[in-house]
Amino acid sequence: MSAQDAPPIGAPISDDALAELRDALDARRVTNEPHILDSYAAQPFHKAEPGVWIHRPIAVAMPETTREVQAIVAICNRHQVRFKALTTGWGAHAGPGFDNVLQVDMRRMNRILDIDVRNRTILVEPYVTCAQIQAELMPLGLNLHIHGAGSNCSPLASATSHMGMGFSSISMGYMPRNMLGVEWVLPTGELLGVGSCGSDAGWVSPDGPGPSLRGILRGWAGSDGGNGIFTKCALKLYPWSGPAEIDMRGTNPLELDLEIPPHNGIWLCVFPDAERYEDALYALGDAEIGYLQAKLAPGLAMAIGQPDLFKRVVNDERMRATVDSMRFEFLVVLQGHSRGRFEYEKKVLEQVVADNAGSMQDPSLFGSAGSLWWALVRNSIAPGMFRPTGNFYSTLGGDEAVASALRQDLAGMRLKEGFIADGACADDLTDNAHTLLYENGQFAHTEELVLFDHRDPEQAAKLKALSDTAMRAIVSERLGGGGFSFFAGAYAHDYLGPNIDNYHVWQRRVKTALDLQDLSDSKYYIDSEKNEGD
Amino acid sequence: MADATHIRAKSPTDVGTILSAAGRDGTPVVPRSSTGPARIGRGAAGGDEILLDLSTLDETVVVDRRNRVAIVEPGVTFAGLEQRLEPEGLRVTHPLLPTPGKSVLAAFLDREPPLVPKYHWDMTDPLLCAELWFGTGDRFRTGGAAGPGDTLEEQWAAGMHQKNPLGPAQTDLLKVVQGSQGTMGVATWGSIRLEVRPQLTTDHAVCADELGPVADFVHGVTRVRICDEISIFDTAALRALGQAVGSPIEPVAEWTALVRIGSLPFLPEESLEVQTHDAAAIAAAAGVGLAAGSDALPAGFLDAALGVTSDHRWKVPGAFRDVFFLSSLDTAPRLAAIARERWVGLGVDPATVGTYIQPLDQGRSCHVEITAFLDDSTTDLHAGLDADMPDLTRELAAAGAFFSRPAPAAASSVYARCPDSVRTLDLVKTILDPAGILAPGRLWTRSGK
Repeated sequence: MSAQDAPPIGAPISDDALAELRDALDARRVTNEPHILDSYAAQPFHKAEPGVWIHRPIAVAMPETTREVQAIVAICNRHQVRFKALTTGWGAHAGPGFDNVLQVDMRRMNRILDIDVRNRTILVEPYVTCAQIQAELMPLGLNLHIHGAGSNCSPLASATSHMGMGFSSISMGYMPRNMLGVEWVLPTGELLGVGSCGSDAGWVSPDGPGPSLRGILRGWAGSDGGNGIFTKCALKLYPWSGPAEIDMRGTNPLELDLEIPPHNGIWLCVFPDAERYEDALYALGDAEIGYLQAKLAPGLAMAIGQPDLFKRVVNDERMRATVDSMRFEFLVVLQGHSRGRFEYEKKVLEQVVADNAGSMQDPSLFGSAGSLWWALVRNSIAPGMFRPTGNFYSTLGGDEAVASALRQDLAGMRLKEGFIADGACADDLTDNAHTLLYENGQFAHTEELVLFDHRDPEQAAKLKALSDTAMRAIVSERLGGGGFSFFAGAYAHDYLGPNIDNYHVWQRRVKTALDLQDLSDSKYYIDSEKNEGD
Repeated sequence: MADATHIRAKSPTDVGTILSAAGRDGTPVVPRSSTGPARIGRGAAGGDEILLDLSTLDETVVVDRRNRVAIVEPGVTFAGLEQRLEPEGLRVTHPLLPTPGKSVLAAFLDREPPLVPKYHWDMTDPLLCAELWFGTGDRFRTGGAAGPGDTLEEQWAAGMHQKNPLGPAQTDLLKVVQGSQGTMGVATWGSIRLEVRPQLTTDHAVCADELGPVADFVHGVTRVRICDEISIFDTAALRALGQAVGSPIEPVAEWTALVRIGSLPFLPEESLEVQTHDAAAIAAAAGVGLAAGSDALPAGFLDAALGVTSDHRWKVPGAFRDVFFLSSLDTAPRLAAIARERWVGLGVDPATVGTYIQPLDQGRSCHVEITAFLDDSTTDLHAGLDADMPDLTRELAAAGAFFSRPAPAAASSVYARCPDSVRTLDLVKTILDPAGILAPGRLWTRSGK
């Protein structure tokens, strides 16, 4: 069938298209069984609209190879079927943004293809998780950056398609900057190697020859499935100076029985006010120390780790004030490759804290120190975020200088106050900023988290107003950049674009050049000029 | 070839005006920011072209100690920037011996290899954000500089300091312009990440007759991000470097890594002691020694070789031919041998072929630069090497070299290896330079052109 004869985009998939998919793949890896499709459509996370359900896919295909992915995309082009790749995604942005979208479930492409210990690189398929990689790396004395979604998620998805901040950002950066090359099935089905891999020169560089196509693959944010499908990705690895295996006992992740290994330590550093907190963050960056670092707001930490205590604190003004006095803080893990280096970093941390009238406290407020150390190393805190109220949402998040991150911390709290009073979200002691440094403080991140219950009709209905308020504040108060608001699709681009140097004009031209028919689901990216405003 | 029309930009908005007019007329424009003879010849423009001279835009817009960032216009040189940074206790990681007229912005737009691997977090470093002008005449600011906030002053007041090197949003057009050698856009300023200048430094050399042990040492120290400048030379390259900086050196082994260890801002003495101790242990494990600079190098050698303020010329225009690419550290000697054998076969004295290896990306890869240091009177030999360059490029690429920054003579061979990339670059070029006026004919040849 030619594209001219195909039904309009968004129409139900034809029997012919399904038959072609079944021919291209093992027929058991293509389904349109309703009960299976429904299992892909419950995605309540990061969904500003009320309800659990997103658009139900029209069918699901599970490729096992890049060639099969190309075949799927070619069939979608012939039959004008929208498609959307899914790896480990948790959230509305991982699923179809429209009706009648083919979900391309990448779970069968789950292999670690190569680990180059000497050059500290790894080559992975889409469904490999950070935890899977980390388990392989630690015996080799290596580790990887794990993004905020946690170790149960795909680093390829983070590097190519979404965002990539995490506790390890201070020493391992931002996941998209960890990318060393990508194998990319374009929205037309053509295969493109980005960087040195495209010239059969291994995985030494994501850029070139000449101009870097990394710049149209993604930006600060990824396209969340709106820009084709990524089938392989090489990533950077970093040193691990702990044991090959962690000796731990227990099943409660907050109360594990484990000893923090030699040359490792974790501290909660607390400062008396915003000014000295900001100074300390700048100093920490200058100092070139720290393995893991982030602010984990005390209210949130308590809500996750000690929910019964948290309920008492919320309703007790004096206890609230006590916890609030700790709001200017960060957790930091030091790890030295030698005893001398660890002792040096510890002394410097003590000096940074003392210079800014801070204190280094026992982090047991958040759980046992060993458990917390492991939770940060493993980045296993994210799933706990659902514990207090059933769901959460992120606002702000535009990365910039440390000073901007601090302004976002303060603004986020202010933005939320009225919504908490109005019952739009849970009372999390209001401060729920997650602030971290990238690359020895060269830039920084703050997102303001919102705890809510998507099963509560009132809260679910009011979430969009909160999200919109945050987006407007990004512009009116110049809070770093578009942050998480970029993922609101056309609606956000129309508002943010004119205030951020008309980026949306260029982004739409890129989308149009690569995917004129808008077949790669653009709900969380941008629509092509052909379908602009539909 | 007739001289190009030479236009000096007087302001950034001039650039937009010139590009708009050129786009209407279909006049090719070749931007140039550096002054003096070009090493690679990328800035040359022909008679039907406009040579857009950006060297007159030479303001250092800001140097910000707290945020470790500077914003520079295209005419700012390394020496000029250094003068601004030193009093602030800051430094920029720069390429080896930049020429006196070398533009900071042009060097980093071209992804020239900086000398400190531990600060090279990404191939795009240390360039962060930029003000770009496309072939359409449109202005676009990238990364954190895109806003919100229409002016730099508005952004500074809001704590934004042009530090986010990605985006804005879901594309990243600076990455497309970077490495494009003027074919995708023109930059009128860029923000550059800076580092705290060490109060104390110690100089060292690590020497061995095989690259293997030196590479083991470099892998070891870059893995844990200790040591500052690290650059590797074979005997011919090290001799040439010594000659260039007026400090003749007789190498003690076939390969030498020049290493400078700098103190960190807190507890500087202790930081230097710990790093030196750990680096020595890594060297010992690699079977080499971490020799003190005073024992292995002429006095003041690293100050001169790693500096930016002199007019030392590492390569004399017209008196060398070189080829450079990216590879892994372990592959570099094999690739260098290919170039050497080929050049020797064409009549080059093997003693004049030198290899410089610059570890990048925190030691995960390296820039390899093989140079035939020639007598400028051997014009027949020059011509022979020039004629052979496409074939040499093809052979090196087939052996695994990655030509990330193709020189003019290498470009056709390089792009022949990646037709899929070329098709996609054509699409992007159509967006950013629809009239095809920006440095036409550089790099790849557009379909249908």
